[in-house]
Parts: sequence; structure tokens; C-alpha cells
Amino acid sequence: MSTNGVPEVLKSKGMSVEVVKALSAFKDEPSWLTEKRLQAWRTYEKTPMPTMRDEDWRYTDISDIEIEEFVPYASSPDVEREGDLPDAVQKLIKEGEENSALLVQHNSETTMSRVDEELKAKGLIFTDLHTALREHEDIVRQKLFGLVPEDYDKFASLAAALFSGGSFLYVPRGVEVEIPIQSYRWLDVIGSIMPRTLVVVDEGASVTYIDEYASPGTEDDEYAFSNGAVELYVGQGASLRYVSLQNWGRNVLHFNTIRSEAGKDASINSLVVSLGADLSRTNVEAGLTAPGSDSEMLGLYFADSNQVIDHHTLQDHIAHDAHSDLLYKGAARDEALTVFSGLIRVEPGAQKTDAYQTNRNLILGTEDAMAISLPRLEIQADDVKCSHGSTTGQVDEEELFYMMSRGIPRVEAEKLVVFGFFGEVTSRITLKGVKEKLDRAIEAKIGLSSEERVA
Amino acid sequence: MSGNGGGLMLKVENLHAEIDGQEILKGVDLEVNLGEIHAIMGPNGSGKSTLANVMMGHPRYEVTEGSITFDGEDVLEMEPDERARAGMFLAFQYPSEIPGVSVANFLRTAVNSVREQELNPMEMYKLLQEKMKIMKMDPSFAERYLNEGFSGGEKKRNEILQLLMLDPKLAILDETDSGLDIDALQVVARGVNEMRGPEFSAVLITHYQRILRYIEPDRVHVMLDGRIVTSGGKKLAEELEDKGYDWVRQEFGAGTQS
Ligand SMILES: Nc1ncnc2c1ncn2[C@@H]1O[C@H](COP(=O)(O)OP(=O)(O)OP(=O)(O)O)[C@@H](O)[C@H]1O
Ligand SMILES: [Mg+2]
Repeated sequence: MSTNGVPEVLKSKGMSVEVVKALSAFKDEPSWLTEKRLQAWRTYEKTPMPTMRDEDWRYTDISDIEIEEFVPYASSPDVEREGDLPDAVQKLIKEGEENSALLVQHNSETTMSRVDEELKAKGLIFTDLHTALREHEDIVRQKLFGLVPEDYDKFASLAAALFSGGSFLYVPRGVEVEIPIQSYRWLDVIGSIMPRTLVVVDEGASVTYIDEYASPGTEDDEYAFSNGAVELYVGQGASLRYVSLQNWGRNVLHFNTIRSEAGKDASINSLVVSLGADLSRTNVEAGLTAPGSDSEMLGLYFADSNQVIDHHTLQDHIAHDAHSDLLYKGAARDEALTVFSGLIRVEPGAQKTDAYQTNRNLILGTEDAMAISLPRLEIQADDVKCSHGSTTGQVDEEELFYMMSRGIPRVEAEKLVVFGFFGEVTSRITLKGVKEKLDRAIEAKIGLSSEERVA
Repeated sequence: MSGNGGGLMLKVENLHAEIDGQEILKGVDLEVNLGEIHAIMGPNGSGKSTLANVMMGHPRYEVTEGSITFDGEDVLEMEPDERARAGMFLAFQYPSEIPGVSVANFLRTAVNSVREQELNPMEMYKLLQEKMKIMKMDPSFAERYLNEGFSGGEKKRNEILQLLMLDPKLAILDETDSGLDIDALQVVARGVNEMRGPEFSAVLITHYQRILRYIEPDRVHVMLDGRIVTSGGKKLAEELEDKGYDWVRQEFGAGTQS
């Protein structure tokens, strides 16, 4: 967590091989990791920036983004207690779930972390990645980059070459963690943040982990850059509830890839929420890698003004007798664009697969908002149950009239419809704090529309 | 006529309305006094639901001529929610399904919207329990999503439940009796009779005389091709049921009248 002596090259605009070397040296990393970072940088340099001609980027235009122009690293002060964190972060924590372990990454550095003694005693490890590399090198070396490799895509290459901060969670065999573990990523400079999350849930263990991203930036600020990778390993019979809550300020360009691997009879429930940022692109891939594994994938997004929110999902059925169920629901208003592209892939031999995928979009107002929905199936086994469905619609005038005829003003009626729409997802969220946060965020996004309508 | 002789509750005058450029209402006149219950009958497509929707302010219809005065106010200038708050209520022929919004949540929002003073959760709960009992609805209905997956009869009961909860001055019931079994019809009739009194008026749109046995109308009107062509006492309803609409068409249909 050292904040002193950050090399000048890390604090200046521009990303380069020098930056990669300086970062690795600054963090005093083992040579295998330095080599890995350099290799990732080379891949990054070799890989062309995706364009709208690429299938995976057909609707999301990133041609204006000059990644290498961002300042690669920003330090932050170490704090001893929660009370010394920035007020806004304290507020996030207070409004969040009760937690049994907490980590706060402020810009590129971890500013504090804490684990309940009881969990420590059970052998649970929760720390930033640099500390983990020093104290638990073997397991980190074995798992890091295993699910989001440096050649996954251009952003993953950069995330491998220049990650800093991040978090590592290890839940030992059979340990059941009741109270959620939470990390916050807070960005209050114009620059970049490149966290990585590495979660290893050992056999029969269970845990809930929440990654939350927030920053005070507004549309009027210069662009900032967030680029992450999340690797989730869930062992045999283990269970992981993973929540990603992206609520960045409106000046952030957010890129993230979340991939999971499930052991026999393991279950993974993911909830990916995207509300903030100017542009947000998240890849969520569940690997059903062992028989009996089960993945529930929930997604919720709400884009307004000029936001672009893009999710690409994959339910990758590799093993037989596995189950996956995806439900992504989104709303778009103003000139916003949302993209959902979801693939169910059933590989040869993945018999008795049960896979479902649903994407529903709600367009609010009669403005120029757009929701793209691209559900796909790719099935190479014959004894499977798969289905997918996708709908995109507006708030029904007939429904609004019905509610208004009962005395409910239009704005309130719209709110009810939107909450009702998201209810299918939020009712499946068992975390009270997360649910309340979402309700407030949705409320705020709908609230905007009423003000504009009055204006 | 057994009108209670109160003041004028509703006055529709020479109402013309169109949808997608097609004129449907071609000069409707209707007066309902305080405390009265009127029935409107008429063949399919004659414009009964259109009249109901226009009275409540459905956005798809355009009023091109005429006026609607409710309780002394010109309602054509009012949004549907304002009309509801002024005391109008429409039980829909085809109520909308609203996914994700529970009956209880919906009613709470609606009741608190029309009342000057909000009810506290306990009062709200009690009121809902009481009214559901009258409608012989299982309490579990309160937690179901509004009309989603409701049977035809359940939707109709739910409309009357809303009527009871909102306690309006004027209720327009658009074929609330259609598709109901005898028991349900009696329940619905009980719901409406519960409201009956000197401060409550209703317009029942129906095809069948049978509901009028339970809810006795002060006056019966016949609608044909976008107009109310004739009116009378409850005998008129019996006559219509016996003889059908042909004689009405012959006497009042297009071509026979101005
Ligand atoms: N969008 C539209 N464009 C043209 N005509 C329409 C449109 N919508 C409704 N109509 C017509 O308006 C007329 C009146 O319909 P309305 O629903 O008011 O009849 P109704 O008297 O309630 O009939 P029912 O007894 O079957 O309920 C019908 O002929 C119908 O086809
Ligand atoms: Mg009708």
C-alpha cells in the first residue's frame, strides 16, 4: 500500500512499455509477473483497436477513445480507519450491505482493507492483489490470468499489463461466509483505474462478494478510464454470489470482463448492474465446466442521456448435466443506447444441458433511445433443453391510461411500470442493501425524466 | 323515475369524438343526476366503450365537438388522473395487465393519489381487507401482479374492488357483468349497491338485462352508431332483451333520422 515514491512515468499521461516495467518494479514483483505483464503489453500493442466492423463491437463505437493518452496510475493516501476515508466513500459503505470484510481501492491503490477476526481465524484471505502476491504467491500465480487471459481481447491485454490494486479473495474448504464481503473502487482523479478481482471459493465453501464502482465525476469532466478483469473460481459443491455494481460518474469509460469456472455441483449467481459511466462495456461469461454446475445470471441496466451500456454474455456449457439461467433487463431513455448480446453455447458432449436466456428492454419516452438485443444459440449436443427470448417495448399507453384513470399522475404511473419491469430481477436479489441501492438509482433515473417533461 | 332529485352530476352534450381520423361518437347527449344509476345498452360497435373511454380521457381519442361537464367542471381540459381525483371512475371492459406491480401496491398508490389525506399503512391494510371481503376475494390477491394471469371474472371483481377502494362520485362500468357467473354477478352487484346512495351516480354499460335485476337503473339509454337514440325506464331494457335491436335500428338508424 505504499504511496510514496510513485515513479514519474506512472503519473504522466501515456501508456507504454516503460510504464509497464516501472509499475512492476515499483510493486517489487516477481520476475514471472513482470514477464507476464510485458507479454500482455506486446499482445496489446499487436492487437488492433476494435471497430464497428468487428462482430463483437458492431453497435458500440469506441473509435474516439485514445486509451494510451490516459494517465496510467494515481496514488491515494493510506488510511487506518473507515472514518478517515473520503466522505463519499463512507456514505457508500454505510448505504451498502453489512460486510464481514471490506476493501477500498482509491484510484490505483488500496487505501484500506479489513477482515473480521472470525473469518481470518477460519483461514479466509481477503486482500489487495499486490499483498496477495507477496503473501500467497503460489495460489495467485496458479489462478491469475487463468480465466481472463492477456489475449482475451485488447482491453484484457491492457488489464493484464497494467493492473494495480485489485482484490484477492480465498475462501477455504467448507467455510460458509454468511455476511457479504465487499470491495469499493473509488476514482476521484482524471486518469485510469485498472483493478482485477480474483476469487477462489474452495470445495463446499460459500460466500457473497460485491464489487462496487463509484466516482464523483460528471458529464462535464474530462474522460476517465476504467479497465478491469474479474476471475471467479468456484470449487466442487461450493457456492458464490457475485455482484458487480457499476455506478461510475458520467465521465468514465468502463471496460470489464467477468468470467467464472464452476466445479462439480457448484453454483454461481451473478448480478451485473450497470448504471453509471459514459460508456460501459461488460463481458460476462459463465463456464459450466463440470457436471451439476449451476449458474444464475442476472443483469440490470438503465441508460439515459448519451450513455452507451453494452453487455455481452456467454453461457458456456462445456460439461454435461449443467444448468444456466440468464435474465437481463434494461431500460433506455433520451438518446441512450443499450446493447445486449447473449450466447448460449453448448459444446459437443454437454448432454442434458438446461440453458435459458431472457433479455427484456424497455424504452422510455418517445425520444431517440435504442435497445439492441442479440440472443444467440449455438448447440452442438442433441439432448439439451435450451430456450431464449428477447423483447423490446415502450411503456404501454394503455397501461398508463389505466393507472392514470385511478388518479395516479403520469410520472408516478411510469415509475410503477418501470419498477414493475425491473421487479422481475430485483425480486430475485436477496441482498437488502443492494436492492435498496438499485431502487434508489432507478428512482433517480426515472426522476430525471419527470423534471425534463415539466421543463 | 326514482331519481333522488339531486343536482346534475354528469352532463354530456353533443359529444363528437374520433380515433385515427374515424368519427365514432356523433353527438352524444347524456345527463345523469346525483344519486342516479343509468344503463346504456346498444349493439356491438355502437360506441359505448368509446364514450366511456372519452369520458375518462383516453389519450387516443380526439374530441372534436361538444362538452363533458362533471360536477360542474369541464373535464375535457383535465388529464385522466385529474378526472379520477375529481371523482370519476371507469371499470374497464378490458383491464390492462401490469407486470411487476402488485394489486396492493397499485391500490395504495391510487388511494393515496385520490385522497386529500394519505392513509397510514395500517388504515390502508384494513380498508383493503374490508373491501376484499365484500368482493369475496382471497387476501392473496393483494400480492398478485395487477390483472396478470387473472381470469376474466377475477379481473372484473378486481375492477369493483378498485371502485370500492377509491370511493368515487361517478362510476362508469363498461360491461362489468359480461363473462361473470351468477355468483360473481351477485358479488359485483353487491359491490355496486354498497356504493349506492345520494352522493353516488353510476353509468352501467351492459348487453344484458340480468345485471339490472340486481342493480336497478333509474334510466336506460340505447346507443346506436355513436348516438344515444332513445331512453326510457327499466322496462326499455326488458323490451330490448326480448326484441333485439332491429326495431331500434328501424326507428332510429342512419337514414331514418336526420
Ligand atoms: N382505431 C380505430 N380506428 C377505426 N375504428 C375504430 C378504432 N377503434 C375502434 N373503432 C371502432 O369504433 C366503434 C365503436 O367501438 P366501441 O368499442 O366503442 O364499441 P362498443 O359499443 O363498446 O362495442 P361492444 O359492445 O362490442 O363492446 C367500432 O366500430 C370499432 O370498430
Ligand atoms: Mg365495449
